[in-house]
Amino acid sequence: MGRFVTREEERRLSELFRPLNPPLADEGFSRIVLRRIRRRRWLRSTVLGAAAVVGGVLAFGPIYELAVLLSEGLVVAATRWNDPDWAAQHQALAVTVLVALALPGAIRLLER
Amino acid sequence: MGSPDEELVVRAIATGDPADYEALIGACQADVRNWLRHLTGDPSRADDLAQETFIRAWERLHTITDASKFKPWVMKIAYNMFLQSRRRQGRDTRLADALGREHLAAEDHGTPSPDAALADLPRMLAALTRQERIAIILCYAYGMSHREISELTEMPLGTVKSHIRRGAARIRERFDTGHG
Repeated sequence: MGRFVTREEERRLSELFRPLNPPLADEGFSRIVLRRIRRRRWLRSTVLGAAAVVGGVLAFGPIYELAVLLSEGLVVAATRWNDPDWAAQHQALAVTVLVALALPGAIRLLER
Repeated sequence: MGSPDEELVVRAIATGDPADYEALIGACQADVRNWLRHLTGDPSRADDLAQETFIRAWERLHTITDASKFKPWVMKIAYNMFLQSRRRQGRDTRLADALGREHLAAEDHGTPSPDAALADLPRMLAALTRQERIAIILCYAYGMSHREISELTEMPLGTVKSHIRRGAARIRERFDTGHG
């Protein structure tokens, strides 16, 4: 039962099982697959494009407000960073911003 | 198993143009469709799964690690697609092939077969366990190496070898007893 299959047996088995994998004409199979791939690509790019436009329109207001707030904050920080009272008041915020900026780099370093 | 030109795979990945993928489909479609026909026993369902297989292969083409192994890679995707569809349908689809059943039916009606060995094929396959059948069919009908079968079925290489050895021994027994 457990002995190795000889070369002659290999040949006989290949002959025996070959009819299980007969030549099969393509008959438009490849074309159907390609058509489906193209349709899927088109659908994906259309949906992604539409989602980007809708998302951009919806996000425009909040993003604009955030940008205004950030620029105002940066101007204030740039003018008052050496004021000890102001710095003490916003220490936690400054630390959070620094950590948020450094985190992606630290993760990348750890991954390496 | 005649592997399709490595260049075809490389070119299809480089250009990203589905037209370059057509030759690859043409080179493997018979193997993939036949394999899924064996697994499902239903040519129409097999062709649906084969289409999904080639679409998924296209979407993951950039992940192929060895361009010369496109055929075993796509056969594995086909096998996974079959397992997924079987799980989805909640059916216990047995490994059965239309060709085998035709021969079995012919024998059951007493029709003499032109080739005794071929006519005995479904009975021989039925005598094997599911895993042995998969390993034997992939090895001898599709010409896949033991390593490729191991990667496709996720069975350890040693297990694949012993399935093939045991399956071949069972077939040998059948030949010895049935055909002298």
